Amino acid sequence: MKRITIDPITRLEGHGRIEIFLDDSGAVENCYFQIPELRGFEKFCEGRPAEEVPQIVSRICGV
Amino acid sequence: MSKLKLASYWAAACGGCDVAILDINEKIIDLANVADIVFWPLAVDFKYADVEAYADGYIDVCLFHGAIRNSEGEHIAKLLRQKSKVLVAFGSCAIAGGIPGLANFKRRDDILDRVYIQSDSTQNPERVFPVTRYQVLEGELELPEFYKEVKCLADVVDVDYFMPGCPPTATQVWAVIQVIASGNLPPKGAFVGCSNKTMCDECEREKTEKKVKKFYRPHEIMVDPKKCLLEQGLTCMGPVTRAGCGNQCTSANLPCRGCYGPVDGVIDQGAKYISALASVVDADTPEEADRIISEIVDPAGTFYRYGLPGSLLRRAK
Amino acid sequence: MRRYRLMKKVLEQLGVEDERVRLEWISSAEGTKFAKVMAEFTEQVRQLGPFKQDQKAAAGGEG
Repeated sequence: MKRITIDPITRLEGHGRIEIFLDDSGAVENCYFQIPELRGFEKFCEGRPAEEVPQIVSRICGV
Repeated sequence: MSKLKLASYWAAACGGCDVAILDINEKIIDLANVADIVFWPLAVDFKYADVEAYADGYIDVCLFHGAIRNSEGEHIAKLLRQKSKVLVAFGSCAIAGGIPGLANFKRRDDILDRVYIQSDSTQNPERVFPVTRYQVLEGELELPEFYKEVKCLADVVDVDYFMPGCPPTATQVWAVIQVIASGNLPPKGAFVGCSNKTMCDECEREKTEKKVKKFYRPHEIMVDPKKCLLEQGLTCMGPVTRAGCGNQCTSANLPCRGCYGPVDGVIDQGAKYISALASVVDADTPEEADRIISEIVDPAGTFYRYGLPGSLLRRAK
Repeated sequence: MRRYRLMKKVLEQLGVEDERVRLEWISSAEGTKFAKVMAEFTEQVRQLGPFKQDQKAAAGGEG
């Protein structure tokens, strides 16, 4: 079995990795998409004043 | 002179810093005349394996954005340090943790629980969380380890220069690129693309005596566009923030939130602001002082908006 | 005084217990009071033990 790793995937915002497994004939047996990144905006916006949130969440993606 | 080899990378970042580089617009062609890009996930298709194959010191200048949130960020930071002659902590996140650094207010497990269990868009009755190693039929998959705390770039590697801003402005980016291309590098550890004055020094708003009887939230007040925001009772961080952004927020009637960090010699921006802000409180009695101070919402989250992991008390151990 | 009150508010959000910070006015003529306050406060902090990472996050920075 052959394994092809595409790391990182590029020209987009964020982090991603693709793992492709090929069978003996070279056909794709299985493929995994992984996101090796988490910042946790969902949690750390808690406790911040509502009027400040637009400025904070604009940093989710700046692209 | 041979062309510079330039790399740009994001760890825990939003990509805004990369876009700030692109915001130099047509000058990107001038950049291409002096530098070859050898790694830049946002714009070109080099892989980690390509970087690993470079000789040590092959990259002349690496602009590193983003905080160190997980083991992959730390690993790539170390890799790029090894492969780069000059490593620049580019933007608030790399320098002091930035917005992702607000996560240092929370516990690691609480963050994971909120994201993978509680969030409204998630259905996860089996309580599946990411794991660093996972066995599938075809082999083993790996994910980076989500650290307990957000770290700054300088916490994990040696950093040559610091370029503040969230993001640094395009004009400053271009100015710094020109300095790099000229080979006339400042002393190691210098802050580049900014001034060592405070925002207030560059702010053109009218300043009189700073005496505040009441702190307001932006929706509670019609802001006078000519007068100092702090004097009007808004918690503007101008007094403790490095200038260089072109006063973008304050010229839009928004109080400064300190993304350029403190000026040289100040070790803790938030602590400095406690001092600055308390000194403008105009109270005759301790009770009145208490009342005025109690109107400041979320002081820690505001004073350390962009620098919690770089602060004295929340620095990652 | 104003600095102290604002600082306490920030420290609370950062998870630093109230009992770890204390403000006292002691003149150079009040040696006994100085000794008493220092001994008392040292003991109080010793009782609290080291500043725990988890504890600080328990505050959660909720403003």
